[in-house]
Amino acid sequence: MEEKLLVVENLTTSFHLQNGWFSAIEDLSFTLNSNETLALVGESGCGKSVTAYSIMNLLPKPGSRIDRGSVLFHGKDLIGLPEAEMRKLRGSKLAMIFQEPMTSLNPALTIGQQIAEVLYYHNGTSRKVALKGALDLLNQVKIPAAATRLNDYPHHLSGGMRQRVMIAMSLAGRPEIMLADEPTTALDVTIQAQVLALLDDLKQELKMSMIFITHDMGVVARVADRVAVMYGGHLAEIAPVEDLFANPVHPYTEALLKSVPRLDRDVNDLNPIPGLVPSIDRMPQGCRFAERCRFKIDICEQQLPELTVINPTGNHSVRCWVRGAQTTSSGEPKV
Amino acid sequence: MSLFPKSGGLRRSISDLIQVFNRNKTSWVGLVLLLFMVSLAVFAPWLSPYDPADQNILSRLNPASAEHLLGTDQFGRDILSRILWGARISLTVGTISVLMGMAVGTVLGILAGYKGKYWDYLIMGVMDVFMAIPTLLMGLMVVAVLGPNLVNLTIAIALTVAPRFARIARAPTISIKNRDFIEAGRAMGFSELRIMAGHIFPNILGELIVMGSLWIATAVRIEASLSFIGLGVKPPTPTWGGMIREGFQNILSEPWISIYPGIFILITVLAFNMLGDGLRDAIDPKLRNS
Amino acid sequence: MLKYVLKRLGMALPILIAVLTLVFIVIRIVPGDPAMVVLGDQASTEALAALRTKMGLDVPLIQQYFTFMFGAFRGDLGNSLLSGKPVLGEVMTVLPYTIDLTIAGVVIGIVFGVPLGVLTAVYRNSVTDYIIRVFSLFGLSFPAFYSAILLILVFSIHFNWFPVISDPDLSNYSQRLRHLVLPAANLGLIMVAYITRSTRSSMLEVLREDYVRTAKAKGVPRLVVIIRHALKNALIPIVTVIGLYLGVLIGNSVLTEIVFNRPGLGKLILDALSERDYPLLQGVMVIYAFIIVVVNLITDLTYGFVDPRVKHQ
Repeated sequence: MEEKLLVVENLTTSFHLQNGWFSAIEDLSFTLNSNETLALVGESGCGKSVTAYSIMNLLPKPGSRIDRGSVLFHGKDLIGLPEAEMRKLRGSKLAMIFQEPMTSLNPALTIGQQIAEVLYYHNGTSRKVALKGALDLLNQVKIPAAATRLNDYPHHLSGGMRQRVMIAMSLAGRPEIMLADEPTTALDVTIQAQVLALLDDLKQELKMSMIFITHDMGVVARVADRVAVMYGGHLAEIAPVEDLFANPVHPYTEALLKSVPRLDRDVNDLNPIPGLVPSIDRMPQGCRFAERCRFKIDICEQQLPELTVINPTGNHSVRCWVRGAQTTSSGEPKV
Repeated sequence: MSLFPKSGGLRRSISDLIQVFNRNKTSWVGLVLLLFMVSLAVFAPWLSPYDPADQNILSRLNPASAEHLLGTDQFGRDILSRILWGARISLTVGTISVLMGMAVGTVLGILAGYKGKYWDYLIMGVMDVFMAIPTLLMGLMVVAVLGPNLVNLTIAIALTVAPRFARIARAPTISIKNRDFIEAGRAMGFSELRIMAGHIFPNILGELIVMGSLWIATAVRIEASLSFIGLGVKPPTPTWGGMIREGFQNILSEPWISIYPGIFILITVLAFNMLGDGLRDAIDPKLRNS
Repeated sequence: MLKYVLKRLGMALPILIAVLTLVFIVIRIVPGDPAMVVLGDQASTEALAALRTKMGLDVPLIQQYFTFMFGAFRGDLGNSLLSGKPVLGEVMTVLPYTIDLTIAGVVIGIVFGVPLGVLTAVYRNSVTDYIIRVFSLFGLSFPAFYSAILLILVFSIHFNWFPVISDPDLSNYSQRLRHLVLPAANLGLIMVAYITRSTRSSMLEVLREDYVRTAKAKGVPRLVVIIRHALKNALIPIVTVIGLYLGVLIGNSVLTEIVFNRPGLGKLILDALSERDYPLLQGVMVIYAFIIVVVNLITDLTYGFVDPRVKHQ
């Protein structure tokens, strides 16, 4: 029986640009169940990272604010939680790993120090015990010669190694949820595969849930249980991974999948999606994908469609006038 | 086809400039103070109630009064008038020395970057040597050796300032030197120098203005310091530093003789610092708000 | 690491030689005959000639140059015209005073400047930030001699806490300290202004770095993030503060010494200038040249030691 680990509802985050406040994500709602990996997919600028930062309350201040919404974790709303309590959750129950392993580690501290820190501040262990714990973690992420690595500085390690160290740091607090912000994007393809395999193993071992952010559909296919497709700060489609790949409903999802070059198709048959994601201060009214969508009808540009369930089991939802279901989630007939 | 990247005319440049100023309010304050000081200096002959060299033994060492707004010194001269005329010296030396240094330094920097190799080593080596010497010491040496007058003072400061600008001009020169559009331009008959000038200057203009402003602040300070030491322009020409020096002898009983000129030095240096600082904050993308 | 050290040494030496050459040239440019300057224009030809020989001025310029250069490296800087004593001796007598002042100024600068700089960076654009920044702008803009005069007026004359003229007996430590307070405060004021600003910009850069974000994501306490993660990296460039601001230190300590009438290299230069004691002037400039090059070298090397990226190459 699945338990709802994280319930995000109507999350809206805005940034302050030179000409005012603009929302980067708007009315975002989804759930994360225990023991599952939810992939958050979309092009750059669609708000996937902002979502993760909002959940962790790591948004850069000043210049950003969470306008409304709730993020329920074990029933407690993370939004508005006092910083002291949030800090206790960060690095322990909620962990995050980032995209750039080269710059995400402190160049002036050793690997051992940076991992042990988590244990020291969250578990209250002594420095010595914490270092021992760091060694165990390094082994857990399969770093060879871990004992010597403890005293190394980040610049001694390769990108793949550093990412493993990041993962080790994030595991130190025994997280229930790991947010991974494009952890493999900056790595070589072969290293990518290794890191993904590692994350898979860890997830099984530790019974951890993940929110995996990526723009790579290939990676999605590899790691995700469920997929949430985002566009322009909105959730466009959300479904179990097999359903999404077999039966993509939202025009954007369909286009995303089509744009991935495949070995079994003619290499000249590339289908990029025409146009660009609009910047947050220039968002159109109505459906944000409309201007790039080949199925658009009049209402698409006037009114934003609601997220509607489109299959009987209720786990596949789409936000689209053209392809959405006949009834809204509250049962009313749609336009 | 124009090889000069800047377009849009004067009107747009001015509104751009105002926008830059607006980003950091300090630069406005600096500008206002600066204009105030400049007006004092420019209109000194008309604003001064007395002739700055006018001695009046009867009313010496008087504190601020209705006749003498800032009092009189040990020779009975009106301090306010002397300060106004002193502004001319400080501002002139400060601005001209930096402009000279900027001009010479920029040219040398471009030369070094453009010619490369031996020219580069030689020029930048000499620049490094001059930069290693603290500004005050350089000023001391030059003025001590050549004699204390306006020209030498100006040269002394220009000598320390030039290397900084050489540095600023050299880097973009090197990066631009080898770009393709230089070849294209040459093919079209433009002289290399014109091409480079057209591309280098817009690049470094911002830095030149910021650095120039900050160095004028330093130059004014150095001029005042050298005058205070006794190496400035010889009396009876009033200089702010010189006035403080003369007032120092009476510091216990008539402190205002030294205090008032100092305030003006402070305001002037502050104005240039605020201007340069504010502009730098506004231009530097790293220090911007969000 | 060794390569780094050797490279730096190799660069330092030519600069030192160049600066010394510059000093030599500048002193020789002095118009007029130094001997006549000392003895006056009524002196006899023989006396002038004798003095010129004594001053080493009757040999070819090139020879004078080499004598000067070798002397500089050996420590033989000639004799002061005024006192007749070796220049190096005169310098050594006053050096402790200058060292006291410089160290005190730097210490004050760091002790106050670094925390203030951290405050302005962490509380960016707050009221605290603006106030501190305005104060540091003032600190930069005060001519050192003016602030010295104001300090004397307020603390020596009005409050009578400290002596007006700073001329301590070095062996008497309490007197030494008491005479140091105001001059050090003067120098310190300027250093605080500079260091606050450079700490601020260094911290601002570091606080934007990814690894600070990582530290926050790990739930590390805020103070630890600021000090252990950010400041530690931000301080790396500031370690070179002495080298960076050496020019400021020298210039302002000269002015401070002059106003407080405190013995030191700065005052020595001034006396040499006013008495036209050219050997002394030249000697002090040589000392300064050495100090500048050596200090820059040391700070370069220190930087190499402190930045782990350079250390472990």
